[in-house]
This record gives sequence, structure tokens and C-alpha cells, in this order.
Amino acid sequence: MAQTEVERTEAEDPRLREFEARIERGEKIEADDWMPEEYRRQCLRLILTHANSEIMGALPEGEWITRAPTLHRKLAVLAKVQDEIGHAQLIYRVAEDLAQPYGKTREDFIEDLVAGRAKFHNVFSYPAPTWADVGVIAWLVDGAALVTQSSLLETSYGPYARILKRICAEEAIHLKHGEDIVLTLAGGTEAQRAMLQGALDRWWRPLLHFFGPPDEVSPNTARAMRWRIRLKSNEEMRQQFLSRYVPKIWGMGFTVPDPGLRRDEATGRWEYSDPDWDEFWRVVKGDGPLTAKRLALRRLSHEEGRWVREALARPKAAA
Amino acid sequence: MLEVYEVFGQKASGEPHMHVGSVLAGDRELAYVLAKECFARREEYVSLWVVARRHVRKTSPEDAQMIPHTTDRRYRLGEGYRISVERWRALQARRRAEAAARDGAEP
Ligand SMILES: [Fe+2]
Ligand SMILES: [Fe+2]
Repeated sequence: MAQTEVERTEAEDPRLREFEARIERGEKIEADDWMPEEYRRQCLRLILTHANSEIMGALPEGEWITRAPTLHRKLAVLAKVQDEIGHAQLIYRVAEDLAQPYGKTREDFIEDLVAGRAKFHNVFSYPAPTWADVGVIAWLVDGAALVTQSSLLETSYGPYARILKRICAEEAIHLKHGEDIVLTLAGGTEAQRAMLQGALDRWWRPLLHFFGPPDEVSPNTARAMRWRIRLKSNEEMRQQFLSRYVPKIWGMGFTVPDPGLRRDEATGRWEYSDPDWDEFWRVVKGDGPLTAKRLALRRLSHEEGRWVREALARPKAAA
Repeated sequence: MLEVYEVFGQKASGEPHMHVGSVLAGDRELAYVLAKECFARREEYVSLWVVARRHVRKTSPEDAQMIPHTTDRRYRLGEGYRISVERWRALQARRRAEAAARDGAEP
């Protein structure tokens, strides 16, 4: 990437040396501290992708609130969807402070999202046709998200690190809720077990894609690691995910649709078949099976909620 | 005119600012100086915040009663899922029984 004028000037800035020394000492960067432009941009990109994913992540499960099989499950799915939207609220606030020099607020972030200009995780572009999908999403998609998010607990950006503590605690409960649905189906009738296997088959490839391609060689990534914005590579996180969940899936007597999947006993690393990274790129660039439909739904809620936001922005409006 | 300022202190970089007490001062700057004297004299803080108490909206006793924790909320909490352990055990027992039945039927 070509260096901008700002970056060239910053490279000679004595504040940059002090900034890097602070990170080296393990200090956290706060919203009103000086930071290089590129640090701000990268943090903002990471944090906005997370916030957008929380909002979009509520949609596939939201479809199931009215159809959950029992009242208990209905309450649990409802509470989870509420948590995810709550996570987005917390994260957009952190993003607003970072985006302050650009004069951007959450209204702009959501406008970008519903216009298809913003990134969110690939998994939220796929359909959830059965109740087993709801279990697999809460167990494995939230499980994958928890691998990523807990790796970020040590991020150098203080405000993000602090809210992640709370978010991870709630994600851990989502996971238990998902695991419980999955175990119920696994211990159920043949039809229930077939439904669960179907959902595992559907979600396996999107889950492998979730962490992103393995070979990250961009200078952006190198800087993100040096500045401790991110602490683990995509492949490290994917390996962690596989180690945590494949033995459980196998232990339940179920399979994943990859005959090439095996753990190399010598290295402890998981080998898997190429999961078609072209599909990943298509999906994250906005061409997933349900990307357009889900964004349209999000746009509708955004428009229909506009009067509420406007009313709330007027502090002394008559009741 | 003197007024009460609430004081929040951060123990280490990256930690949240926690409420540590209050001071009485004529303005915000003096409140900050007092807070440093009162709270950071011995204990170590890396950062302090002061805010006038009148700017803090607190939970009133009536509000506290309105925060409803009366219904069954186990589905929101980790311990509500202890049953998963039972489900996991039952599933393993079932798999063992199925395997035994297969082995018994084979010869
Ligand atoms: Fe979440
Ligand atoms: Fe979640």
C-alpha cells in the first residue's frame, strides 16, 4: 500500500516512538491518547466489523424466535438476540470515539452497513433452515466468535479490551445454550439426529471460512500484530477452534463433511481440505446466499426505527 | 460555592476507572487536586477522573425495585445449563449401548 502524506510525516514523529514504547511495555491506548493514523484506522476497521457482525448475527436467530420448540427455548433465543444487539451498542460506542476525528457516528456506520458498504462476518449470509441450525449457530458460530474475541482481550486498545470482557462472558453463555440444543437433538430421535447432522454439514465450510484465509502476508497485518491490535493469526485461531470442537462433534457420534480432516499427531496441527476460498471472498464482498435479503431486512428496521431515534435525540421533547 | 465531586481512579493502564470516593471543592480543577491528595497519596493510580455529583444520575430506591429479577431467568445464566452434563452422559451411555448391541449381533 502506498504511504500517504500523513503516514510519512508520522514516521518521523517522536510521538510514534513513544507510542510504540508504550505498547512494548504492555500499556493500553485510550481514546484521547495520541495514536498513529494507521493504528486508528485499523482499530476502527476491526471494531466496526465486529459491531456489524453482532447486528447481522442477530438476524438468522431472530427468524427462529417465533418458531422455537418450547417456551424455555424461545426465551433463551430471545435473550441471546437481545445480547447480540446489546453487544453492537457497546462496540459502536467504542467505534464512535475512534471515529471522532472523521466526524462519524453510529448513524453513519449503520448507513454504511445497510448500503452494503461495510464488512461483516461471512457466516451471517447463510440460511438457518432448521431448528438444528439454531443450535449449531449458537454452539459453533458463537464458539468461533469466542475464539476470536478472547484472543482480543489482550488488545492494546483499552476501551475495546474492557467491553470485550463483558461480551465474552455473555458469549460463553450463548455457547452453553447452543451446546444444550445440540446435545438434546443428538440424544433424540433419528429424525432429530439427521436434522443435526444436516446442520453440521451446512455450517462446516462457513465455519472454516470464519477465521479468514491462512496466509496473511499484508503489511497491514504485520503492523496490526506489532501494535498488538490483533494477537493471533487467522490460522492459529482456526486451529484452536478445530482442537476445541472437532473432538466433541466426533465424541457425540457425528461427522463433519471433510474426509481430509485429521489431526497430525506429531505436530498437533489439524489438516483440512481446501475449503474453496473463492466462496469466502464472494460472500464477504456481499454476494452470499442471503446477504442481500438480510441487509434489506436490516435496512427496513433502520428506516422503521428512524422516528424513535429522532425522538430520543430531542432531549426535552414533550411526552 | 463548594460542591461534591465524585472521584474515579484507574489502578493500571487498561483497567476500568472505579469509584473511590468523593471530595468537596470549589471547582473542577481544585476537585482534581484534592482527589490526587486524598486518594493517590499512598495508593497508586495511573489516572483519576472527577465529576460533579449533581451530574451523576443514580438509581433511586424506587428504580431499584423496578429492575425486575423476579421471573425465572435461568436461561440467561451459566448454571441454567448444568443439565447439559446429564445430556452428554446420557448420549455417551446410549452410544456404548448401541455399540455393544452391534458387536453382539455381528458374530
Ligand atoms: Fe455477541
Ligand atoms: Fe453470541
